[in-house]
Amino acid sequence: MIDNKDGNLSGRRVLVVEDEHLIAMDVQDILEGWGCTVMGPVASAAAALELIEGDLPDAAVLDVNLNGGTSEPVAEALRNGKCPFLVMTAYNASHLFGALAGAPLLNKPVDETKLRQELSALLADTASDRCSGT
Amino acid sequence: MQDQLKLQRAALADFGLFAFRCDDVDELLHRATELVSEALDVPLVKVLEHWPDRGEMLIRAGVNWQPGVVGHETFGDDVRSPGGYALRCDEPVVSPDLDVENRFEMPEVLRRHGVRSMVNVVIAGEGPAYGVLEVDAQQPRGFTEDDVAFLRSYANLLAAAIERVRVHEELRRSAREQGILARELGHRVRNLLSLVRALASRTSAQGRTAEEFRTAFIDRLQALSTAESLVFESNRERTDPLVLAEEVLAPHRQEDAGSISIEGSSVDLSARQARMFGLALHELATNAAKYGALSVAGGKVSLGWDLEAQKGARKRLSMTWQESDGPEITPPQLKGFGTRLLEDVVARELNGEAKLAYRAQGLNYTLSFTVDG
Repeated sequence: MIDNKDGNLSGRRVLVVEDEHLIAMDVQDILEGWGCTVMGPVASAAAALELIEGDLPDAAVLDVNLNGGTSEPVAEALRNGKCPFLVMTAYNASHLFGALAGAPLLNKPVDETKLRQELSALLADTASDRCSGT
Repeated sequence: MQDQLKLQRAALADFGLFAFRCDDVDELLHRATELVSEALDVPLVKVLEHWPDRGEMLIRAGVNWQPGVVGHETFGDDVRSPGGYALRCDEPVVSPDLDVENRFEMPEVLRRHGVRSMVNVVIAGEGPAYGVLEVDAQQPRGFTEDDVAFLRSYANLLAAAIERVRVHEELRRSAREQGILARELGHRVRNLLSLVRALASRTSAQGRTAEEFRTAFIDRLQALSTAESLVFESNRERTDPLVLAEEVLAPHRQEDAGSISIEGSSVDLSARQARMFGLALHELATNAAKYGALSVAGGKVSLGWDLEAQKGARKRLSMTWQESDGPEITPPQLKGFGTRLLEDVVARELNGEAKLAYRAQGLNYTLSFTVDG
């Protein structure tokens, strides 16, 4: 554990997958306000997978439903890369399936305090090892 | 004789309790025929369900029939069949000896089973009768008044039970549908709240008084709300850009109705498209009122769109907002949220193209995206 206990998110690379662009922009601005570098935002699983291929983020924020598709393939790729992520959705936990199941869940609309806490916790858990884009 | 009556009374009581607990019509009917068979010491019992649209009666349930009869065999519902005759008479029909029966014909199925005597009683329904309860003996039998009275009580009990199950099923189905609708509405509300949150946090507070911020935010919210109401009020979750444009731009046309001309054909916009279209028009009008053509007397805005047929029922909507007779304009030094919304957010959300041009004649904005028609 290094410096993330207090929620120091500065310099962390966070992938944002969200199909409603206005909401994506909102999340992006919040994250950038904390000093994070945002990857994306992207609106589809395909675009997300392309973006993170060989260049994993430190953490990710995933919406579940993406214009008829879902972010499950992204969740799977992130799990394979041991990269932590949280899910931000209008649905409840029973809708999380496959690689999305069991992920920390934040309900929409985004609560900045909770987002910061969850993200810090995710990064603190993995700060000591891996997931730095290698 | 006393024993028979006791048996019948017990059958009524047993079935009453069973019917009270049973939620499945087929189970209910099957048990009914079993109990009647025991209570009257008659081998063949069946329930005929009336299907008025087909002019048929189906053997819906029964005991001791050959395979392939129950659930399959049907009779006509006219007076020539025993069940049809009972249905038309609307009272119990007793046939102590079918060899001398001349009120109706003997169906082949009954002949095959060696039926020689029968009683038919109507099972009532909420509106028209549900059908007929039929008891068939394989020898001539003079059914007593008590037998008939028993069958009538039984058929009435059955009618009430069938109705109860039907109402239950109806209620369950409706509760399920309500549940699904309520959950969908929940998601929709959360998504809308997210959009509202985004509008609030993206509306700049810098260099603005609290009142100015409030007005800017509430006006955006109003545009979103207008789009949402139009979509929500339509039965098809769609709205027309023409109606939407008129509603969103109404506040800017109050003083001079001719300041903004709107020309475009009707087409269906989805909820998402309507929100973005409404927000874009609101941003354009607000911007024009502050810096553009609508900030001076005599300034004009011409809004119009064309629809070009594409594959299937799809159409490409190409919209142009052109300002004229306004003050000289210059591109803003910093891209505010309004500009980002117009150039970036709207185009991405609509999966289309958007362009803002600061022309000498006045501001020009073009937006094109595909609609389902």
